Amino acid sequence: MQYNSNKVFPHPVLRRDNDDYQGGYDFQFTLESQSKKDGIHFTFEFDLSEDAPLVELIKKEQACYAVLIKSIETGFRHLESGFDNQFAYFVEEGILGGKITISPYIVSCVDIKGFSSPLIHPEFGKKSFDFASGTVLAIDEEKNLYVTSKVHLGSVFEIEVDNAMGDDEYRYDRDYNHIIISVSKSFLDKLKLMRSAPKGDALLMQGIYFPIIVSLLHELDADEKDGDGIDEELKWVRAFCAKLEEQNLALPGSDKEKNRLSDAQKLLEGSLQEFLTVTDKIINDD
Amino acid sequence: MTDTVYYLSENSVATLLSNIEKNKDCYFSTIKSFTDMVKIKKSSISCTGSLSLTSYAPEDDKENALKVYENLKNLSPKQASDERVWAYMTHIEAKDYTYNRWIKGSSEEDVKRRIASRYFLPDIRSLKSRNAISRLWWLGHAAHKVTPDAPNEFLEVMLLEQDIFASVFERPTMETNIGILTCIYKRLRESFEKGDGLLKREAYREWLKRLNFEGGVRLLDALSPEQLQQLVNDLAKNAIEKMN
Repeated sequence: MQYNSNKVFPHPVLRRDNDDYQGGYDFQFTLESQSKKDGIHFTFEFDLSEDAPLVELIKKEQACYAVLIKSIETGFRHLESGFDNQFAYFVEEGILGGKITISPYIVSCVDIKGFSSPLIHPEFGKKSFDFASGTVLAIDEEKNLYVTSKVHLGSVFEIEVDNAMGDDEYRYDRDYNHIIISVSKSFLDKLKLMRSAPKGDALLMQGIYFPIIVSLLHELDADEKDGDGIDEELKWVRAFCAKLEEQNLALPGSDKEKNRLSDAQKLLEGSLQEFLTVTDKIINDD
Repeated sequence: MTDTVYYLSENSVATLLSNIEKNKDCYFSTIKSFTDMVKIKKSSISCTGSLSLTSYAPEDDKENALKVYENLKNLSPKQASDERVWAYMTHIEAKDYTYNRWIKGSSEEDVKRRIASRYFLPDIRSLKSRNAISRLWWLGHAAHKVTPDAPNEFLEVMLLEQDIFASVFERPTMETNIGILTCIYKRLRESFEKGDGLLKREAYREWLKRLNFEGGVRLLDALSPEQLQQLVNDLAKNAIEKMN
């Protein structure tokens, strides 16, 4: 069940940007996660004001806070719940992978008859509701994080010959699981020579991959901003997001301040230094 | 006899994927091999020797799922979602099986698409329903979770019709929720033994549709096993009654 502030339920559901309950109440959910060698430690916190609807149900243990943790890649799915507004959960190493979705709810723990609140929007047409066990009573936006094996960004690129390309140009195509870089045969031969040289990979990373990475980061930001969303089905997109998270850099669509030129340098992890070493040697040998 | 799980390098997978057309002969051949075209890596995960999948019919999926899972049961779910492992299995370990089960007889227009979907993992959903070997592993994995003492019984029912398999396993909210999967299996097993009409296509499709709808307003994960089984049974009864 994905978060949607406009989704119509047959009963009031407390959520932000929605007036099923009048009075501007919602609940805030915060997530902290720590990746350690043994696994991932989660801490969940729910912030629901004392006079908000549903508080009494939780106090009477008729409703509870619940967090659904899902990893589509590994098929992991678990619901952790409690009556305290803060609780923790631990997942062992190897269980989660790829994109992890954390969805917060308040749900009924038992069948509830005749729940009422003066804050329920009159458009429901009634002031009293029965809830079967498991009914979603409140929902907040899901949070995502990425867990992946250490990925070297160079591995998401693939270079192909395109006879239509000139010898001094290249282009890339981002619609596949890998970024396909198209070059002429002569250009590819030169890249192969470059790669076979000592530290030659650094020249490839900085000369070819680096500008593409800057461009791709901007394109991913634009995809999010335009409302299209990033295509997480593609392997390179998942690898980029995992690397951004690993380095604590802004994910596409996040409100964090972004400097994609600087981010691209961090994503290439030290290859700039190697590049400078190689060019230094070239200059001195000359 | 114990052995080790092998996998392909990331670049090998990418190269194979972009050269399907060029390598078509090798996919179709029982003699040619991909071994010289790829970089094979050795993991530290043990397995019980080679896969030896020699039965290619859809009816053999049950036996093959148990075989694959038993052989590779030491994979963690995270390792079992790695394309490099499954690309090795389909291209090297079980090349003949993959071709005979999924590619033989394909039309010329279709063959490239089928190779991409059965030998690789073009998207996340392919892991459990498309890749020739990973789908068997994940089926075996589910069987061992739902009926650990008799995994073959789970497969006997879930693979009765390919449509039942697809209807359940291509709905992530059902196949990833072991609680729901268990309840669905138990109700299907009851129908399998009593013949109450639920195994008719219109009936089980209506049933699963209603269950999906119920999951839109209730968090089914929050129900106890008894509550969930009651719900699943009630919805099945309603679906059968509607069909009669």
